[in-house]
Amino acid sequence: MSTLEIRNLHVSVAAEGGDREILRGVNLTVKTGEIHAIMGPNGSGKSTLAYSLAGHPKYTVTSGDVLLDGENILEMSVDERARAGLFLAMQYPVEVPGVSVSNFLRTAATAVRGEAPRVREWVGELKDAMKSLSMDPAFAQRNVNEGFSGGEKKRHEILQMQLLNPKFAVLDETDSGLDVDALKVVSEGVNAIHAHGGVGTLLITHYTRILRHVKPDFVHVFVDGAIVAEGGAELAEELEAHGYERFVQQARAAV
Amino acid sequence: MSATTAHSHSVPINIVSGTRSTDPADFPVISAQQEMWRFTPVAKLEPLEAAEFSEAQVKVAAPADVAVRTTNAPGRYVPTDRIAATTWSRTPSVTEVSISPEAVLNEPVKIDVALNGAVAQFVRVVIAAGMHSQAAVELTFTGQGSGGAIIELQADAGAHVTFTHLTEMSSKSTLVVHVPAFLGRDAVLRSHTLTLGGGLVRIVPTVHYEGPGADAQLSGAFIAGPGHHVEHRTLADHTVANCRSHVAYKGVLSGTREEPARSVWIGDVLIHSAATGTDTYELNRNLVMNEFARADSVPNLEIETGDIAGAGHASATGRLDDEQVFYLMSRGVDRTTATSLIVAGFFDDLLAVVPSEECANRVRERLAQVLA
Repeated sequence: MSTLEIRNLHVSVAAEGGDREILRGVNLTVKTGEIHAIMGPNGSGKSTLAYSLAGHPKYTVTSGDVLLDGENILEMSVDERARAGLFLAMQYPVEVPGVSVSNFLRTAATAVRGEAPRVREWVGELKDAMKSLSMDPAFAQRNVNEGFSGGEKKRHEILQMQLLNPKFAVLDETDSGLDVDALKVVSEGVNAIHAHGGVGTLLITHYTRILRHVKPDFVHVFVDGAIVAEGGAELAEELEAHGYERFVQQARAAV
Repeated sequence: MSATTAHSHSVPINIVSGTRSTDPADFPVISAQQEMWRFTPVAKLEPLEAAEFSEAQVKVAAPADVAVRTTNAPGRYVPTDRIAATTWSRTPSVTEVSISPEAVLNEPVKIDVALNGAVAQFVRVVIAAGMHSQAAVELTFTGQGSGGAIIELQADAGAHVTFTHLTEMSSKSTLVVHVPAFLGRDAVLRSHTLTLGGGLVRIVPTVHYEGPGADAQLSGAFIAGPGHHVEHRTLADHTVANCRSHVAYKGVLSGTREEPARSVWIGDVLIHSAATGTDTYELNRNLVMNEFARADSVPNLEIETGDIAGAGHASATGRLDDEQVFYLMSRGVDRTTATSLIVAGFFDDLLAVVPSEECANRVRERLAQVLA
C-alpha cells in the first residue's frame, strides 16, 4: 500500500510581466487502489497539476510538498520521479521521429524496472498488453506518436501505464478527443490495470463522460488552482446536470 | 525540432556558369569574398596549395567483374573551382574502377584512402559502371593528414550504383573532395555521404544528367564535433528532361567554447529550359546540440522551365526539442539516454537505408562519442 500526498502545492509559470501563480494551495491524498477524479473548467490549472507532479521544467513549485510514501518527489528529477513510481499519461504526447514504439517501450521498461526485460518474455508481454488495448501488432514498429490518431495516442499512453506498472498514475484528459469506441477501450484498459491492484489514479477530466466507464472513488472539483469541493461519484452527477458555474461563483466569492 | 529556420535565396549558381578548367591559374586566388568560399575557413586550404605535395595511396578491393587499372585518361569531369583544378593537375595518373556491363556485383567494391602524410596528398578515382550493371561502392577517407580528391562516378544507361562515402578525418586535417556523377539514360544513383568530421572537410557532390530518366538520390548524415568544419555543397544540374533528384542531408553539431563546431550545407538545383518533367526535392535539417555550434543552410533552386513534375526544398536548424526530452524522461529514461535516443532517431531514416551496416554503425558510434 502506497500513499501520494500533495500538501499545499503552489506552482507558478513564467508569463509576461512576471511569474503567474496557477496552483494556489492544492491538498490531496491518494492511496493505492483509489481512483480520484479531478474535474474543473478550462484554465482551472488541472494540467498544471499533472505536469508539476511529473516535473515539467516550465512549472516552478513555489511552496508545498508532494510525498510518495514519505519521500518528497519535488526534489527528484523527472526520470527519478518516474522510477519512483509516478506516471503521467499526457494529453498531447509529442512525436519522437525515428524512435520506434517498441524501442521506446523497452528503453522505458528497462529504466523503470532497473534491468532490461528478457527478450522472449518482453515480446509476449508487449503483445498481450497491445492486444488488451485492441492495438495492431504493427503499431510497435511505428515511430512514437508520429502520425498517430488521437485515439492511438491515448491507447499508447495507457499501454505505457500498463507496462511501467506505476504506483500512481496521473491521466491528463485521457478521455478528450476520443470517440465512444476508443473511450471504451481506454477505460477498460484503466479498469484492467486497477483490477490488478497496486496503483492509485488521478483522473483529470473536463467531462463526466469517462466516469460512466471508470468509476471514481472520489471526485474533486478544481477551480482557480485549488480543490473547492470534494465528494463521491454523486458529485460528478451534479456537475453533469448543473456544470461548474456554482463552484466557480462560490470560489470567486470566497476570494 | 524547434524552429529557428534561416536560409537565404537567389544566390547565383556559379558552379554551373562559371570558369571550367583543369589549370588552377585560371581561377582567382581563393578568398572569403568569393561566393563559393564565403562559408569556408579559407586559411585552412593553404596546405592544399603548398608547392610540396604527394599522391595518396588508394586501396581497392574489387570483386569479380570489376577491373582496376591506372590510367592517364582525363575523365569527364572538368573542375569548376581552384582546389578542384589543383587536385586535378596534381593527379596525372587516375585509378579507374570499371564494372562490366550487365554485371551484378554480389560484393561491394571497397576503396580506402588514408591521408597521413606530412604534405598534402591528392588522388583521383574514376568509377565507371557499365550499361545495366548493378554495383555497390564503399569509399572511405580517414587519417590525420590533408589532401584533395576527385571521385568521378559514371553510370551508363540503366546502371544502378549505390555509393557510400564515409569521411572521418582529424580536427587538424583539411580535405576537399569533389564527387561528380555522370548519369546516363535511366541510370540510378543512390549515394550516402557520411561525414564524421575533420578540421575542414568540404565535399562537393554534383549530378550531371546525360540521358532522360536518370534518377539520383543524394543522402547525407554528418556530425560536426569540436574544432570541426563540415561543409557539403550538392548540385543537381538538370539539363535533360524527365530526370529526378532527391537530396536529403541531416547534421548534428556539438562544439565546445574553445573549439566550436561548424557546418555548411549548400544545396544547388538548376533546372534548365530543356529539362521538362524534372522532379526535384531537397532537404537539410540540422540539430545544434549546444551554443558552441553553428549551422548554415542555403538551398538554391533555379528554374528555367515551368513544365516540371515537382520542385521543392526545406531547411531547418534547431535545438534538441525539450518536450521530447521531457516525454522520454517522464518514462524513467535518464537525460543522456533520452538525448541519444532522440538524436539517433533524427538520423534514423537516413542510416536505415545505408547499405553498409559497418559504415552506418560507425556513424552511430561517432554520434555516441559526440553526445557523451
